[in-house]
Amino acid sequence: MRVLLMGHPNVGKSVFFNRLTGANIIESNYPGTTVDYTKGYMRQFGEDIEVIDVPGTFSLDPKDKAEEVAVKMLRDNKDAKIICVVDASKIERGLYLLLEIIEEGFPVVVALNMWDTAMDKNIQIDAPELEQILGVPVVPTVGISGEGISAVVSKLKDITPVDADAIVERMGGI
Amino acid sequence: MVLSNLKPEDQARIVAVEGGRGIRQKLLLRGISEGSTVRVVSSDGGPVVVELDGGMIAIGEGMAQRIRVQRIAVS
Repeated sequence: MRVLLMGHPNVGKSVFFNRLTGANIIESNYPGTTVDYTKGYMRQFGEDIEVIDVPGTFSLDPKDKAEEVAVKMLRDNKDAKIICVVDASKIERGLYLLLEIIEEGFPVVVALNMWDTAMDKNIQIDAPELEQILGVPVVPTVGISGEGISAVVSKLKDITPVDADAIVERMGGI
Repeated sequence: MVLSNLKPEDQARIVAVEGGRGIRQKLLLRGISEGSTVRVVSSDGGPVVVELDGGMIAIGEGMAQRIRVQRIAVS
């Protein structure tokens, strides 16, 4: 199994990567820190799973070099499963990329990262409802403390692609 | 008034983004859309650097001229 970590710049993908693989790649609080990709392995479900830390991208319509790398990674790994990391405190911005990835037909788990920050800002997110609408697992996480990470990993096993049109239908059309 | 008219430390609310779907979407995904508020970090005739939601974004002059803003009085 191959897993791609995708999401906007500066949402904590690399922190996730380190948590999953035990690696120690540089994390810094600047967007665009990861412009190349990093690969690592984790042992899970009795197999070695390849984990790829993809550069941050805002959409699948690349606007710069790092985004081009990200989109190419996705297109070159049609059989990959995706962990889409979304900044829970800016959730409305992250959903666009998530929907694009779903639309491409990839199986996805959503990590609503920086859940603690969202709480501090009094942002309330109904994760189960979101999960219902999207039809993909939605897991609140706090990357730096490790909260929710194992839940994300456990969801990887059984995810399958979902129909984007069905999501629109559940939203009551657009 | 447009974003490029603002001076460092000015705070403003975005009133409108004038442009096609591409530019509007690009800015929206980076947090710049009608109603969002920004604080200017630097603006010197070239790119404008603004802070929003604890993040920072640099906007080219041309794009900054297409973002209509309303200055917010800072108490």
